[in-house]
Amino acid sequence: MKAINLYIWLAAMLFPTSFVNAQDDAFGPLTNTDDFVQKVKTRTAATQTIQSDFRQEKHLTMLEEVLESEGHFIFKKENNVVWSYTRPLDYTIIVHNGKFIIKDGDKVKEFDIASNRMFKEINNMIVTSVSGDFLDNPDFEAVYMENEMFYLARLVPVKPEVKDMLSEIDIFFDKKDMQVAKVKFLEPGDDYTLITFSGKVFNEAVPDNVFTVSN
Amino acid sequence: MKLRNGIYFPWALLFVGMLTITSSCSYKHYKGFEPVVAENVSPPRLFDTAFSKVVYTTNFRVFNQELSGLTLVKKVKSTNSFHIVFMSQIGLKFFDIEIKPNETEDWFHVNFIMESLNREFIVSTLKTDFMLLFSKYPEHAETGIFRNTENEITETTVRFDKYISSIFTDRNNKITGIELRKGRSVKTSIHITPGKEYPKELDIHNKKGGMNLTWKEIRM
Repeated sequence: MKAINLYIWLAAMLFPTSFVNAQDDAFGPLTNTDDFVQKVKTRTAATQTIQSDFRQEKHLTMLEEVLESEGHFIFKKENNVVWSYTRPLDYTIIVHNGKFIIKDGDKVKEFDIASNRMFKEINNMIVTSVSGDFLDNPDFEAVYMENEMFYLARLVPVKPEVKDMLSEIDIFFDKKDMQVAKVKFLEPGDDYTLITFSGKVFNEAVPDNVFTVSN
Repeated sequence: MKLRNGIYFPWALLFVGMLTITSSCSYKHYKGFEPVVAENVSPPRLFDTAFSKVVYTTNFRVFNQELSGLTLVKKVKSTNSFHIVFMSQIGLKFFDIEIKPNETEDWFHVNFIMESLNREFIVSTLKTDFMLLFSKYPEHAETGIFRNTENEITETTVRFDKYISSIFTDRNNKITGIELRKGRSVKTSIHITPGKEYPKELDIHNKKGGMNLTWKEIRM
């Protein structure tokens, strides 16, 4: 018996993330959907800006590979987003005024979101995920769950062009502050991208010039 | 090759010059290249047998549309296959292609490709590009070797159907360039910065559709 306990202890020490994930995955059906929806609405209405660090893990399941990156994230109502990757390389994605701007090292490229269906859908997914503003969004079918720490909104895309890229988006809300703690983009097959937010700051003024870059 | 005072020998210019010669006349071997008598010549390999994986920053341009992101190239030892996964920075996959060098027919397998890229021209061009990168030539291809002793460059030619592929290696037997020609026309040219077990950088230019693929190694 002692030996079994030792193995469990060793396993927990060696593979702590799998234990944490097991805890995260133990989601059950939401007992009070109306309460959750109301909390999301209240939180969405009260949130003007979000600034946060993020860590991204791209899991290629079949290849047993995890590609990690990290950076800083800024959101400003209604539809302004900055994803600024600092590791492993300098790369920034900006969504602002209907434009999708990519800064890759010293190169800057700008795309009109409306003119490119793929950028339009990616933008929709990004903003929906990080803002948590998915209620009444006809592009997704939502299922709600919860465990001790999180509410989970599981969004299943309706549009075929989005289904081609993603099978579902899992948005995890921290029950303590009802803010988005992490987002999981699941692809057809078993691959997924997990983005975890940390050091979040809410409703601090964000000047508009953070959404512009120069060549 | 580093010369005195930190100056690098402009291999790229030499290679571009070679392409110019090639496209302006029927294929004759480049000036200074002489045939080498050899039997059972195998095309040199860009990815060494010791290679396991590498991540590249990637730019992919086709029909004036450009995608950027990361590409993982990984060798799966259990199946002796290579996986090439190109994805955006935010993790969305563009394509996932598997190369099985030991297979004759089904050596190029598309595990996934985003619908907007799933066009016959794009897939067939990628197949040609990866044939060149992974030396996956048809069984009936005939090989030859030519050497420029002055510059210590070796050209391995692979002839199949109406095509000729030339693989240029430097004095260290590292591949620095590959091209594919049909008659007088250069269909594909690849500029390569070699590394120890795999290319550090490469730039593939396909004449048709202006389809370009650029890889630069990145440390994760």
